[in-house]
Amino acid sequence: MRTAGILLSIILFLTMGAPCPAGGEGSPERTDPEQLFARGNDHYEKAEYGKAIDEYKNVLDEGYESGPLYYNMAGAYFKAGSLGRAILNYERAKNVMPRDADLISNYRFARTTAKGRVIPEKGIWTWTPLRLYSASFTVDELTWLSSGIYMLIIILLFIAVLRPDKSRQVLAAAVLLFVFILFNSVVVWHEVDKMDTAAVTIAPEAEALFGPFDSATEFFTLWEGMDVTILKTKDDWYKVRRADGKVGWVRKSDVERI
Amino acid sequence: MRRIFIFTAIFFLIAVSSLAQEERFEASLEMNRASVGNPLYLYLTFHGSQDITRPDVSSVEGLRIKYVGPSTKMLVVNGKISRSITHMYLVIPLKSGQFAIGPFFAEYQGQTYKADAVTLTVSDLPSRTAQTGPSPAPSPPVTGPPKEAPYVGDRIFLTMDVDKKLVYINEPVLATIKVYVDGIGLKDIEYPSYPHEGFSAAEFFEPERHRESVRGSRYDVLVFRQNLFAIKEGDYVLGPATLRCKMVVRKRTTRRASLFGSSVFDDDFFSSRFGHDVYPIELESVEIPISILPFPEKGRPSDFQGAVGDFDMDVSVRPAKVKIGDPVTLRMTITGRGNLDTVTVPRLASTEEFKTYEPQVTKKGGEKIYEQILIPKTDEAKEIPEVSFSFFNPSSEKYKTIRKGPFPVEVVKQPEAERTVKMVSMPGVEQMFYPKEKIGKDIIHIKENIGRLRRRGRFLYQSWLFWLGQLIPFAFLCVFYVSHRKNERIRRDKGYARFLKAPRKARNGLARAKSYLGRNDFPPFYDTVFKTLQEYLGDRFNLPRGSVTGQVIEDRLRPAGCSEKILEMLQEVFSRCEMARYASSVPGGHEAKETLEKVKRIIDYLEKVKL
Repeated sequence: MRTAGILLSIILFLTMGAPCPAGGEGSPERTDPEQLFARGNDHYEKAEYGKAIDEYKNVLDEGYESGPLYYNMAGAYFKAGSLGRAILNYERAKNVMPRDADLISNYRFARTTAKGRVIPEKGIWTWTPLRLYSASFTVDELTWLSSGIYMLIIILLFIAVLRPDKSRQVLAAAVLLFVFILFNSVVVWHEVDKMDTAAVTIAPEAEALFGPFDSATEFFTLWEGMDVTILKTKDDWYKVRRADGKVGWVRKSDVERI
Repeated sequence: MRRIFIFTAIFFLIAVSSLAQEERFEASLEMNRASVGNPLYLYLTFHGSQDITRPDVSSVEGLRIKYVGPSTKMLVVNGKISRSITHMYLVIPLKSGQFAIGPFFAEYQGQTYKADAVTLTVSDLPSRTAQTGPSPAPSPPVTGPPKEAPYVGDRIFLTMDVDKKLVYINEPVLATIKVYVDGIGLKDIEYPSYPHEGFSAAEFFEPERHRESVRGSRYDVLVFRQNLFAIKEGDYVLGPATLRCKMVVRKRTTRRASLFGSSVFDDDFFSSRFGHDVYPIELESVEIPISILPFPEKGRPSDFQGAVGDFDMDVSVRPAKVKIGDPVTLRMTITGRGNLDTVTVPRLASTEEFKTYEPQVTKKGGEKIYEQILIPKTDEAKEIPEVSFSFFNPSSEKYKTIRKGPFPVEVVKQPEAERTVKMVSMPGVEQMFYPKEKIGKDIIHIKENIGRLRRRGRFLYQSWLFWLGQLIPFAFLCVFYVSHRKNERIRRDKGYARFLKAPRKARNGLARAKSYLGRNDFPPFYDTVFKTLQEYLGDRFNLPRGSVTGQVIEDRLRPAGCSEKILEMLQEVFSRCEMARYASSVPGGHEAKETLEKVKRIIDYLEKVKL
């Protein structure tokens, strides 16, 4: 029993203190990005939106990102009249701080100003509870959640070893938690996949063609800010699927990955 | 001797009398007339013997016939003995009509006896039993032959009645449906249903129970009441009302009859102990013709909206002094008897100086309250106009109009600073409405702090440290599990515990022996070597230490495939130790060293080979 206590203490120490940095490359140098960010804000407040965007981009070029950075950048694009890039950056900000009230408000407002809405296809990922769940957490938060539950399962297994009389109930609870981890993993997988393939139309209006060449027949129109999923790449073309399920080819310059 | 003679004579007389009794077979019904759903008994009686099996009764369409059991009877009257057996059947009429049951046949001593068919007349219960209005008193229920008068022989019937048969549109009519029951148990009683064309029906009131005397008989009565509202003029028929329930009838069992005729089966005390039969029945009342009259044209007020009854109206205004734009509540309360559902909002004369809203209506018991919000538009509004309400009184067959008001109000101008519109949507709940405000729309301002910076495109799940952190607890769990299992085995398995401890103990023993050898102290050396080897082998093979001898160990090791050389060494060590411990001569230094080496080799071998 004493041995078990010592082991548990060691495990808790290791798990609680396990170094899990976001980047894994040590703490970033914060001075420069913060200064760049502050300069961008100054430009924004002087309504010099182009300059503000440049400063914010410099932070990104340094290899850093943050929710407020994308948020401010989106605001600057919006004010500069580039709705597509504004929505694109709001989407990026949502991946970092999905529950920020200002962000949600601005994102909705930007969406309402976009043209050309389509009725999205129904699917498991459009089921409201699942959509809300996945949209409310970042990938890292979902990963931490799974990790926490995994630790809980380990503790339950320790209890099952120490208390064979309770092992049936404890193992049942562990199985349930494991099922939740599986579910969470699927959500994480979907979110990561979405980050790789999701894109936003940045051109004011882009025609999706039946083929990846200029003379191909026009199929449908993508309006600025419209979400698409990139299915394939060929030369200067993306094969994209619109939310309503229509698939066509657009120039790479018309859309940008989130 | 004389007594014997008398008994013999009596017996002879009885026997002769008995023999002289004529055999006959008869069929009879408890009553020849019955109504649907009212069960009765069929008796098949054989006189002259009690040794008659149950006669077959063929089924009759429209009747359900169920065998109840036999009843035997023996009577001695004036020296004559009569014996009989009665087979009883319960007959349940399922539909009306005339039914012939039988003929019936019984076998006795090789002869076939015939009983003629019996005729049963079944009538529809309501046509004979139900009455409308206050029911004429029925004859007391009897168990004998039926009579032609209504209710005779009926122990359950249904009546339907209305409080008036001539009504005006919207006038309420109270329909009363009663179930009369005399001595019959009912269960699963459903609410009655009946056609009521020309009327809308409200919910039934809670059923009432009471006892009622009808033509001198006491009935248990279940009363259903329901309000009907005339909706369309014309001549209509209400009913017939039907009611479904289950009738509980006592079983009549097959106990033997008493010697002297009177049966105990009729006795409640006995009957109550022998269960019940349950039959579903449907009771039906008669129809009631009823007429719905249109409202008279003569004297119809212009604001008449169809309210029927005898009503009164009370009107109040609150507050009496208001600013322009402030609400005034006009409360109109209608009370009285009649159909409140037909009461509509009283008419308010010209309301040009007021802005009006849809009135709120509440209904409480016998009153209906309308609350009308009026907002004065100008300070020229001096009074709330007259309120009028018209209704038709079916008792007097006349229209009546109640007028109240006008009601003076003082309307003052609103100060400039208070140019808001105040509206009351619900009594007691006030809401302020300000002049329409222009709400701007734009994105929310940027954030001042950059927040938590992180490397672009890096996620937690991509960090190897994260996965290492996940792996370590699992590794600990595995180690802990193995260790725990081992400890548990040591705790439970003494042999295993000895097995594990054996090498360590042997090492300690050999160290002690070596120290004796270093001091050339040979007797304790050999003693220690012997005990160490004995203890080691005892622990190793889970044997009592005292039972470990060279032979025992050899018997155990040889079948297990132990090397012959080791066995020889073992025997040699044992014999040398025995010699040193019990003989006078103790082998000296070289031999002792050799013994110690051999013991070490034996132990090493056994540890490696794991026999």
